[in-house]
Amino acid sequence: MEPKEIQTKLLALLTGVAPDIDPASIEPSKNLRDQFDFDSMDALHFATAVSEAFAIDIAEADYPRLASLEGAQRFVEERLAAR
Amino acid sequence: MAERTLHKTPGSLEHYLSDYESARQRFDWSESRRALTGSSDPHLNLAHEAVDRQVERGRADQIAARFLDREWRRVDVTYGDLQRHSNQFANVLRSLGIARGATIATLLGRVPELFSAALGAVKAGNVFCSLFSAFGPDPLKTRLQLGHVQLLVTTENLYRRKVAPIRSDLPELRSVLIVSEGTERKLPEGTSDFACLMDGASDAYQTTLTRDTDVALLHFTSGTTGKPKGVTLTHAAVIAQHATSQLVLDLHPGEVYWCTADPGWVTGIAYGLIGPLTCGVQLIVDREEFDPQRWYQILEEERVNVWYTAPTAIRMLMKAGTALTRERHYPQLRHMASVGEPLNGEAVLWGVEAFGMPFHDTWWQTETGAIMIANFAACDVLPGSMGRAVPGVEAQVVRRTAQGTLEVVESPEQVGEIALRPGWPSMFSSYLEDPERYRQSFLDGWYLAGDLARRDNEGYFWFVGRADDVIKSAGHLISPFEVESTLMTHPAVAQVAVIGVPDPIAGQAVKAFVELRSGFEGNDALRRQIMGHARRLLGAVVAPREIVFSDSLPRTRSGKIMRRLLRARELGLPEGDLSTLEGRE
Repeated sequence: MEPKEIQTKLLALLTGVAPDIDPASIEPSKNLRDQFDFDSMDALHFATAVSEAFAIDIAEADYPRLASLEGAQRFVEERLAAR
Repeated sequence: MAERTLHKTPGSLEHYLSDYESARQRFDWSESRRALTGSSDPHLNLAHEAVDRQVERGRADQIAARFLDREWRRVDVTYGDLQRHSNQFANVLRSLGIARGATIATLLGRVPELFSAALGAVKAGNVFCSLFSAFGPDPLKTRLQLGHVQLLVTTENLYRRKVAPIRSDLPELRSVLIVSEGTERKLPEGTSDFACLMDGASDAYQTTLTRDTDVALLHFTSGTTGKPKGVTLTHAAVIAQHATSQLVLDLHPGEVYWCTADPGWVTGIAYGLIGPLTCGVQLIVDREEFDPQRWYQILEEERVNVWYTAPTAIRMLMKAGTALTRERHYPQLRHMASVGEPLNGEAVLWGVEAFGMPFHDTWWQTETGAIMIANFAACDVLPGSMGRAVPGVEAQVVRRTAQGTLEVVESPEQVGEIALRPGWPSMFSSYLEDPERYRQSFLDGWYLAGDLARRDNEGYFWFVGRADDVIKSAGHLISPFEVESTLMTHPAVAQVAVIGVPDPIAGQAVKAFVELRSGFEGNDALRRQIMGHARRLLGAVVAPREIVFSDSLPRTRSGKIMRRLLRARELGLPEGDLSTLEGRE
């Protein structure tokens, strides 16, 4: 999967969980919780959605890697490459 | 359930409550008051007991609270610091012309300034109200108006996002003080700098003479209908908060104690600030949100002795797995308790597996001002039970009779409503501007809690459910009415009903059933748009996690939407008496 495609998919999943987020306003390197009203239940739902959409297992210990959009992108790329 | 009982064996530590029956018999609230204040002075100030009394007892240089930030920087605040900072804030209030009795609010994360403001306001004889910083502008406006808040302490970021848009609707809000986060461009118009005012204020202040019956704290909680309930607690609440911090949390002077509740809710003030400080402990305050690895690191590195947390967090830790728990060691940890929603037996037992000790469930409400029913550190635990009535508290399971009176359910295992006999010092003194609702909370000399439970023949209570439609999600009490009102402001929404549905982590999740206006099509894009609208106005914790479109919501003949029926359908339960239902289906 191309990085661009991953990013598009991640954005769709993120705004599915938190539709109040304007994709254009996201700073990819910044923690989502610092930019938006994004709570721990949102983080959990986002991680579950990413796991399902990309068919990858995500251990709870890896959840912090999904804290920013850039982090999530890197994580998914790594996992897909390792397959 | 007897075979699941977790028996306790006496350890080396002296517990505040070791023999339940004799503790109940001996207990006397006036004795607790004397033990707390060390005198029979008729004046009592909740913040003075939490801070100044501790300084008097030689704790000026002892750490009262340690704040942790994301980069693991520690900010330590001693009891002496708390005394000086709260005095400065009390002087700031006077210099700004805020009169005694006026309400002061904070809209802050877990920062030291919140402590200074809370304690300073109460010492000055003002009413303190902590607002949950994750609320959106809608719930904030309702609460600031209902509380007649005259001064608000917040940050530039929160002010711009949540308060500036509603400021013109808040004519009573005279002053807004901004706590610096180090990133501000410049102070927003109509606000002042918190630090600047504090620096200019004297750190000496003679605590205002207040009485047991004067209001000290205002907490908002959610009801089924109408506005949020403004629950007032008096200075006497500190007597019960202190006693239960000893009897239930078993806090000993000098111990390290971590309460994970946000100060935006009553637990974060009663047991995240006031009660534990009156016991002379060191509080841990984490500024970050929940994260399993971070939490385990805090428990280990900060050498936490007593930990008070919530079922949602415990279930998230369970999900993360015991292997993660065991990556660290917690030799100092000796007592774990939980509050916020019923703790399932599996979570209690998981505590034993992961930490070698059970979580002790506790039950209380904003209205009760302190823990009323609990599992105690030195007593046997029945996993899944709420525990037994705290000494000094008379709790029963009751039923309303056809004559409009109450009868106590004497036989065990029968479901009824939890009722408490007034007389404990932290019982709420009013619902703001709603004396009728306050009156209706009492019947036949009992306070009715609105929670259904049964009691076994050993006196342990078992939670059954809420008697009303209020939703409990991740420890937050959410009013379906408040969520519905905001959803109705979306142009596509014609009718809406909001209920709580079971959620494996949060206990309940908020779900909305929406009837659309004609001309709108119920597709995914619209669903997201409505959800985004709700999150912006209500905040993520209150907004629905799920929205479904429905062509016809079940209504009574008078047009009232039947949430009970929606809930029954959702859970596959019997739908009950439908005789008042309009035949639309």
